[in-house]
Amino acid sequence: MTALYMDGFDHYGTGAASALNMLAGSWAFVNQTTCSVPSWGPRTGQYCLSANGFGPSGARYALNTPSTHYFVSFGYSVPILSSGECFPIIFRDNGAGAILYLNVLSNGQIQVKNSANTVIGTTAHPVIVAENWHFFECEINTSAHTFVLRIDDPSGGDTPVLSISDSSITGTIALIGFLEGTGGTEGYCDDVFIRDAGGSENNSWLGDRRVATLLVDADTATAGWTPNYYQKIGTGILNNTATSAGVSAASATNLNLGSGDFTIETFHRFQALPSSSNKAVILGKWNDTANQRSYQLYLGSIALNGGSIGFRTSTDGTNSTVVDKITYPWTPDLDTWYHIALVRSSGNLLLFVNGQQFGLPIADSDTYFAGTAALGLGGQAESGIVAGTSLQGWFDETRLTVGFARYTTNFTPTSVAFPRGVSDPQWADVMLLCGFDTVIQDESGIGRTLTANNGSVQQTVNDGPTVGAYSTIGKAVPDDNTFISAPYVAATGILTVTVKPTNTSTVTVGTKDGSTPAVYTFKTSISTAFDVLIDTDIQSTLQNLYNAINAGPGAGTKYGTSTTSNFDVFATQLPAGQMQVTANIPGTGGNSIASTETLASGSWGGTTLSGGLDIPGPSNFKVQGLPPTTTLVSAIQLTVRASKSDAGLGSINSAFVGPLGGVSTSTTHNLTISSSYYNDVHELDPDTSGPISPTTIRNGAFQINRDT
Amino acid sequence: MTSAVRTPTSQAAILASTEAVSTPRTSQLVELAAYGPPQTKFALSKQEAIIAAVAQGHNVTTNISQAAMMIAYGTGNPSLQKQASWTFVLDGHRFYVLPLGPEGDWAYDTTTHEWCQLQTQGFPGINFTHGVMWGLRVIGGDAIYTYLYELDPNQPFDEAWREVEHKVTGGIATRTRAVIGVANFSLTASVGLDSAVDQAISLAFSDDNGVTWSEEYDIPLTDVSSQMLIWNALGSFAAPGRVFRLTDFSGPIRLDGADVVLTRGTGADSGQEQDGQKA
Repeated sequence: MTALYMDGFDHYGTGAASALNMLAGSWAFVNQTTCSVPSWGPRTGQYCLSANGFGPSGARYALNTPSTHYFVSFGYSVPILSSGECFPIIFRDNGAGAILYLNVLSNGQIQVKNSANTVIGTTAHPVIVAENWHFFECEINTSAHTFVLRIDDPSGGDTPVLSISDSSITGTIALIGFLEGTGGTEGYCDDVFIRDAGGSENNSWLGDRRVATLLVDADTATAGWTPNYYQKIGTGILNNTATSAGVSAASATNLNLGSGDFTIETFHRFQALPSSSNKAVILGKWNDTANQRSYQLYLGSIALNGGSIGFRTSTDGTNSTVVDKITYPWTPDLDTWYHIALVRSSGNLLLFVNGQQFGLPIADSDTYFAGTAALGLGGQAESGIVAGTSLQGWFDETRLTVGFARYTTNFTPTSVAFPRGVSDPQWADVMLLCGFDTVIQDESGIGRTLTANNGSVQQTVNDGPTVGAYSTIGKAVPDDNTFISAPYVAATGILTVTVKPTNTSTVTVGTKDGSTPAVYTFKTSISTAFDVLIDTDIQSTLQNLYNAINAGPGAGTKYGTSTTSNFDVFATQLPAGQMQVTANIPGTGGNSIASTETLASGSWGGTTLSGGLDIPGPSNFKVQGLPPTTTLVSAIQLTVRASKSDAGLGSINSAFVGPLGGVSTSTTHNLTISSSYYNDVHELDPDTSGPISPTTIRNGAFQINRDT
Repeated sequence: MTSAVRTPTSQAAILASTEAVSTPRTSQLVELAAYGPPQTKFALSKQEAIIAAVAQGHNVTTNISQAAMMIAYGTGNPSLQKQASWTFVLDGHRFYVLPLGPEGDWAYDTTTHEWCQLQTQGFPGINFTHGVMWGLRVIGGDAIYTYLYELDPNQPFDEAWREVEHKVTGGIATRTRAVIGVANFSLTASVGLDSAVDQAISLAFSDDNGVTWSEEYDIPLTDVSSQMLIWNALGSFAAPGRVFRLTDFSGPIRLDGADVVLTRGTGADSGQEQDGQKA
């Protein structure tokens, strides 16, 4: 390996955001420096690096393995020639001390200075012209105490403009800075290509090299990676990501739910979960300040309700009659669309997420308060949206049906817009309907006025299957709210018990040791291992069972002594007579873990756990076409901006796949929760082990693989 | 109006390459203390909701929000000064190719006695060296890499990825200082089988022997073979005359000829307001 890094500055976006994006994994220091376009245009691609010369400005690249011998090439341009500083390049040591740097004089000559700011070389003639791009290629060897500079040499064969041998050129190079300076002189840089002198490729003068960014624009094998688009249904969504954002509607009697059936449903997507003691209101008619509480569906923070989805009501508007009807633990994945539906059907509340019922029906025949609170979508609407109640995320199709329970069993959420008008048999019951395709408006027959508060806005989507399957990762400006994802999911099973287990009834799940089934026997009096005490009620008995499965508290009192923790699963308790077990090892292997019982009134969802998903296989992606004037390729760099959803293992690697199937693999990168750039450089054709050709790139593929 | 001459460039496809190499991939299974959202398909009798202390965890998902391949590439590599001339026969025309280094590669059609320049984008000349006839096939080598190419006039792309740009020029010389109006310029071409979707063919003209050129006036090409290509109201010119230039990328299969309708007059248009028009 000789080529270490390249950057064309075309994939960070522009302005302040571009500097932040550069810092996420690619650059060590960026100050007063962004990506932009000079009036005379970038050297290659759409943008280049630009520094304003104040600050100090500039960007530094940190070398993974500091050394003494490097080749660096880049394009450099300035709007004016002045005595102000905008050093094209500075080589720095581990302590960021300058080893050697270039300075452009007001007449266009270039000086080379050492760590003591002593001039150790000056070009014989002016070599820089304002508003022109110049190609720099330099070699520094601090072991040999030499520095050589070529400017505008297309093939690296001309006489260098500077060739210096000076004992002051010494030290280990750890950082390479571009456009650094404090003199207020603007500067621009493009096509950075850094190499060391090792390896057998690209370890000498190359001549003019440019850096093109070829975004992923198609795939050859999706292999299970899932695109997470903004687009859900139609062409628009509600962007509710601003602080205290939300949509409100004035109170109306037809928004009261009374004591009958109703259906609240919406598609929503969290950018962040509520923190501190906050909640994220999905939809409600609730005013704490004026004692006008009626009903509210929300997701609470961990501190508020253990991170649960909640539904609470009041019968007279006061706090004294507030009842949390549903509190069900749920941690949604960020940037993932969910359909949520809360239904009251014949006096029972039913909660569905993505069409699957969460928990058991909750009896509720209360008449909700018919108060004067405003309706709030995405926040609690009082006089504006109450701080700490906004759902930071996005909404799509949202519907409130009063007087009809649309869902009473599991279902598949719609993939098209809810019907409007006569095509909906319950159209007369629809009291609120929003699609957000073009504007924020109530599309129900009511046509009530909606108010967008604190930056809640309609957002026209720019991605989705119709735009391009890889509009998520093929973006020139990174947007970490859309991505492709590779899940690794453990199988689960839920045990539901409606009557307290009888003596000697059993629950079997997983194994004791990898082979012997783990059979848990309910006993009125425990005596042996794997006995579980039948306690005072269902919930306490289930608690004894999940403690036995986990070998948790209560050994010898609540479950039999010498009970070992289950070899295959661990257990968690759920509300309302339910308990969940989860396979210890993620993946489809958990889908074969047995789950049976001999209960008179209880059951598992199936005879084995289910829902386990394996890591998808490697996915090959095609990239955009090369610049048509490309004649040769010195190296490629596979750049991936990635993150993981939670603490735990999550790593990826990328590979360059040749047209004939050869694969050049890269380093495995352990991801963090924050998005960062991960770069891997390849210099050889994966099919031939020779130089990479344009044809190899055009017909090859960029492979992304999740390792762990 | 002189006759239009097709100026082909290197339409080449990879003929030979090398053997595949495969590298196995290794995956690991790891233990994650986590679980996904619980699901149940049971709807039993009504019960009281009880919040339990649940050790909430999550399955880890890896997310990729941007992926790009960067390439450090070179362009404009000078041709070798000394290259052998070679010849080939295409459509019954024998071409004699002279690689002239920095001056480019030129081919002489011994049938029509016309010269044309052969150039691959990014190269001073054509990226097709040391050509030979192999039976009726024309074979040559890549200037940099170890590829063999076949010259194939039916391929819309060089090296299967690089757009082929065709340029042809024709002119009308005049000594008169009286202005000559150009009512229209029409092109007869076979535009069917256009491999690229809605590629444009453009017309530009120069009234100073190619020193400066008008803007390019585009007409999108469709796959309709009967499409008429007419540019109307192209201003006027005087001495030394006007040169017309047609440019397209992988567009028509054949240009049959071009005609121009001229008008004598004393006024002159600036040419700035002219525009191509699809008839």
